[in-house]
Amino acid sequence: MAEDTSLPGLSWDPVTDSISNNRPRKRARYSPVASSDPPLFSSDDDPSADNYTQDREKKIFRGPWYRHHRIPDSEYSNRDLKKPKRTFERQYDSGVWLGSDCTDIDETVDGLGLVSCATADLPLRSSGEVPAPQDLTPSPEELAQKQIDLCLETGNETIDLSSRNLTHLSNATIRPLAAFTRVPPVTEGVFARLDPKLKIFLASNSLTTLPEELFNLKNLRVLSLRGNKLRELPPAIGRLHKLTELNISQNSLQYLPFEILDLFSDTSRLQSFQIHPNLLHERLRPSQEVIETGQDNPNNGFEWRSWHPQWRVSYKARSEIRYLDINGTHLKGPTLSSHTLFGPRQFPNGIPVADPNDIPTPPSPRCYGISRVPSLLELALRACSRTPELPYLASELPEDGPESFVSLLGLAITKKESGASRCTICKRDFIIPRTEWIEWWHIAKAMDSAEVGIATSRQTTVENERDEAESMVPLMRRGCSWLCVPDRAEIEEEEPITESN
Amino acid sequence: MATSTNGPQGLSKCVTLVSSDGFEFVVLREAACKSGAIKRMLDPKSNFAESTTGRCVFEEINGIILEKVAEYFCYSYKNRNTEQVPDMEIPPELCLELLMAADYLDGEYEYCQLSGHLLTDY
Repeated sequence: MAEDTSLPGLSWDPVTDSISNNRPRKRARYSPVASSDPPLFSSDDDPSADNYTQDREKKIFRGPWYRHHRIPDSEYSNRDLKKPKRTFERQYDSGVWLGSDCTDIDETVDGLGLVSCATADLPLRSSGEVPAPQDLTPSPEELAQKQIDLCLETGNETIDLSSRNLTHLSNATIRPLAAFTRVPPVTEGVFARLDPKLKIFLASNSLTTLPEELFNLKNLRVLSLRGNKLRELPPAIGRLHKLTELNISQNSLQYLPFEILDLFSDTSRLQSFQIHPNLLHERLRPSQEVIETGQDNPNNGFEWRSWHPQWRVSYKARSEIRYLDINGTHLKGPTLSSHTLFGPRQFPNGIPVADPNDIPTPPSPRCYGISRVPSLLELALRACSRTPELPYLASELPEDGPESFVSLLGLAITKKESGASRCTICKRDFIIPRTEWIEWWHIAKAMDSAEVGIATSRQTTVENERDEAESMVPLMRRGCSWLCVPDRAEIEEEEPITESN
Repeated sequence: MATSTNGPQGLSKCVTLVSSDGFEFVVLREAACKSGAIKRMLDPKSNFAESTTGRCVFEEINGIILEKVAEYFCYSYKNRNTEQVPDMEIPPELCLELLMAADYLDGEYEYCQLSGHLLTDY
């Protein structure tokens, strides 16, 4: 306080009145002495005309505009008395005028303390402590959200969310990743693409469903879903054209969506594809010779789709068609083995392969034949799915209604979250499948000719057979009407020429 | 409605659907038979009163919903042989009631048959 007298600003006061006026006004919020500004606002004064003949009453109100309050009368009158003997003296050290000595830090801290004392000291402290007990147990998804935010901020392309006990991942959690931008390189003269190479690791969680937003990440390169509880992959996975690595092993998958074949087309970049172990459906072959005929004469059909040269993909066989009623009830066709949700994990039974000459025949039709027209139930469910109130619709159902509505609405919610299913024949979106069948496709990585030579010479036939069985992938195809089935001609079309180097 | 003239012998071409609030919709019998429930009602072998009068009264369905149902019957009948079926618009405020109406009208198969498919497969 001894330095106060030597402060240059104060000695100026009588000469330049403006400076001395300005300085205290800046700190007026916590200064005990109020300035004597001329009234600017009508609220400062009684606006009646006779007030102008009297002494002005100033600063009746105190505080910022959002926290205006009237000064207590006692203080007001006291201040009036003090007013004539107002001197330009500092009430306390602000720290602004101090020279740079070691006391600097203390002063600024002091200043800060003063500010917080006057305004929001108490709330500030409590706000630091009160939410703490709530935050003690954030849900795994909140932690995942934080991790994603962190990766977004730092530009980290590897989002490692493995072993986080995640049971559910919502669209909102993943959505920010769509805006991921790489940190541009600092080196001058080098132009680098800013497309991120996202790598998402969700291994060793307990996920049963996947959010659709995950498949909207166009720049996703690596996706690991190893060791989850997935029973089905959404068809939207076929959209991830830039994926180079996909690991879906150690789940409860019994089949893969048909759309996964898009990942092996020549526009895709898939390098590594891990599917085993899973609970994939095996094919039960009535007789080996009948099934393999398709492969023996690969030239009978045209190339249905061009595959990536790194992969050998070919259609092998299909199961018989399962026909489903408008509400998804199984009417005709083979039964898929029951899921082992609660029981011990057991390998599902194989599904018999349909005869290559099998012609799908739907159950007895209703009134006028079978058409591609969606059922009214399906149309209504689609309308339900389009409303934003979809999650709350189930609670509005009458209590005596059939229970199937709840499961139907649940199905609609799932489809909305993880992406719509599209009929693999007529490419229309649907909610309730009417037909479904499993096709077994041979998907294997094409080996170089040199590697093939080594493989054939060294590997035993037993290993070859196992490899052959493992590269047989069951793909689920679904149709939106009873007419959306493979016919014989289409099966022949779908036998592409086996890619050979 | 005059169009729903029916005789005791020989089935009329059109049937009348009556809503709970008295609205009547005349649709082709063949189109209305898309619904399992209506088909059973109108089956001459069933001896339901509806099969002789050709008039189905739905006490549970109001006029707005039944209008949409009748529209669906026409839409379905019209597109029965088309490959590219256009979409039928359903306003969102009707979706839940229509869902229940569809379930009621389409109940050709018993619901106790509902296999584990829908409940566990998704």
